Order: sequence, then structure tokens, then C-alpha cells
Amino acid sequence: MAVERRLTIPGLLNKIPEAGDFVVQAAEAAGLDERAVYYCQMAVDEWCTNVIEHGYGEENPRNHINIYCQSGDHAISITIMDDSPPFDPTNLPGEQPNKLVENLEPGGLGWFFIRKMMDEVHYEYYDGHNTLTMIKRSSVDYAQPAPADAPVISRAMPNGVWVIAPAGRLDATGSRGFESSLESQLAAAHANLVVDMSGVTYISSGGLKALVTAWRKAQKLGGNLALASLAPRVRKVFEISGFDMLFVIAESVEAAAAKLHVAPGKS
Amino acid sequence: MEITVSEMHRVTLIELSGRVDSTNADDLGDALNAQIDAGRNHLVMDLSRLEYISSAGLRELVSALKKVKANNGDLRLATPSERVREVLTLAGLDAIFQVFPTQVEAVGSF
Repeated sequence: MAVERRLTIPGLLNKIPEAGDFVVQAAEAAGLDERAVYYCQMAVDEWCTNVIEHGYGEENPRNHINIYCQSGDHAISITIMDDSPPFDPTNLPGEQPNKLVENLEPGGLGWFFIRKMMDEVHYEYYDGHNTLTMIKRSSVDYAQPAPADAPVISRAMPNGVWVIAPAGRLDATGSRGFESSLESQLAAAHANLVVDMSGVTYISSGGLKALVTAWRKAQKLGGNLALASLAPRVRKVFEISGFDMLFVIAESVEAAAAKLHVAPGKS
Repeated sequence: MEITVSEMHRVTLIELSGRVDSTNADDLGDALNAQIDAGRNHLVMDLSRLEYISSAGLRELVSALKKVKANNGDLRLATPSERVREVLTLAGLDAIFQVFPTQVEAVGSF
């Protein structure tokens, strides 16, 4: 039987911990494991912070955030509503305007965490309220669906550079085909790799991980791995996560290949 | 949140404890900037008593990392809790920060 709880906090950052505690209680009541409880608390913190800093745009006790929790059997549904102007987070991290601080977009990383930590996230602007609904199940039973692997095309360039072109979504499950083509290239001692990202529409930490693993192996082999032609939205993920400091990133495959030979790794 | 700074022979050790979120991330940033402005660019952050850090706090860490790297320094992390470590990994930050299992190893790495 679902149990519903409600809490209203004023639009002040120092009231967010109350929302966090409230959600922790509801998540524990739902029987979520400790990790899932922690993630719920963090998702609520991140969202409420975004609502105050970017939705309302100020701290003002006259603004409010309403939180509803429904605790079920090893699952919780958390709905957060506010009255700030409509802001659709699904536009993040790609289209948030220009408030870059050290390449880290305010709100972007928080939203990234919410998507990574929650099992389902749904936004709508309904009846004058931004309404975010998140569902978290106990991570102990958590089973991920397995979408089809993204198709991957490889080709050779002059100077021993190999180009790998994954397509579609590079996430935990969608990047398996990509990982195995990276591994095959490296196993064949093709250490100078350019990943043509032009066909990639989305990258998660799973996809980033595959790239970092391959980058490390390429460096060990005395080569390097460069990225080419990132869509703005994908590039933003690299900036938010700080990966733009790690990889050589270029506008085109040719420019990336040229950069590989200028800086052929540190090994 | 509590920040304790100890000046060591070759590095500055910063112990961070409690919770870092949007209410106090600025204070963390100020504390890190104070070290960097004073010319201390070899920083170790001991996270063993850090219970929670949100994206607001992580942004300050990344921002500080970028600054010390620009000065040929580094900001290295020691002993994050399992949850904090997961959060670093989720954000991909485990690839740009060196993370050490003990404070001694982090300090000794410089």
C-alpha cells in the first residue's frame, strides 16, 4: 500500500536539508537500500537548488517548493512542484544560456546527477507548476533494460591513424559495440585513434568510461586518442564533467588526426 | 561543513568534513582560493569525514583543480567514502582527480 507524505519548504537554500531529511525518511520507509536513499536525497537537493537558483532566481521565503513522496514496495515516487517560470531540464545540459563558470554550467551537473541516480525522471509544466517526478527503486533488484548496441564503423587514415565512428547513444548498455571496436583496434596495436563523434546523440558516464579506458590503453601503447565533431550537447557533457581537460578535442576528423601527431601521448 | 588546513613540508593538507551543498559551497571555494592565492598549488584533500557533497561542492573542487593545474600544481583526493567516491565516478571526475586510498599516499604522491 502506498503511503503519501507532503512537505512544503520556502524558497531558501538553507531549507533544502529539511527536504532532504523528509525524503530520506520516506525512502527508508519504502525499504530502499542505503545507496538508493542517498541518491534520492541528492536528487532532491540538486533539483531544489536548481529551482531556487535558476527557477526563482533568488532566495525568497515567499516562494515555495512542494514535495510529495509516495512510498511503495522497495520503490519511491518523488514529485517536486514549484511556481517559478517554466524551465524544462531536458534542455540541459545543451541549451542553458551562457552562465558558464570554469566551463561548468550551473544546474547542468545537478541535472546530470538526477538522471544518473534516479530510475525514471519526468518533467512537465502543469497548471502553472514546474513538476518533476522521479522514481527510485531499491538498487539491489535494479535490472537495466538492454537496448541494441550502437552500430560502429571503423576506417584507416594515412599515418596509421584509425577512425572509429559510433552512432546513437553511448550509455552503459548502448556503448558495448563501441567498446569492443575500441578494444579490437588497441589489440591490433592501432594506438592512434580518432573517435568521430558526429553520429553520437547522447553520452553518459558509461560512454565516458569506455573512452577513458581506451585513452589510457592508447597512451600505454605510445599513442593517443582524440575526439572529433562533437554535437554541442555532447560536448557540454565533456565540459561539465571536466573531461575536456583530458581529451584532445577537434572540430573535424582531419584536425583531430593532425593533433594526434603534434601531441602523440606521454608514454 | 568544516575545513581544516595544515601546512606540510611540500603540500597543503585540507581536511573536509560534514556536508557540502549549495548553502556552503561558496565557503569551500573561498577556502581553496585562499590557498591558491597564497601560492599553494600542491593540495591534498582528505575526504574521510566528508558525509555528502553535491554538484555545487564538486564544481568548487573542479574549479580549484583547474587553477592549480594552471600553476603546474595538482589537487589530489584521499579516502572518499564509498558514496562520495560513487558520486565522483558518476560525474566522471575520478578520471581528472587522482584519488588515493590513504592520506599518506596522497601526501607522498607529490
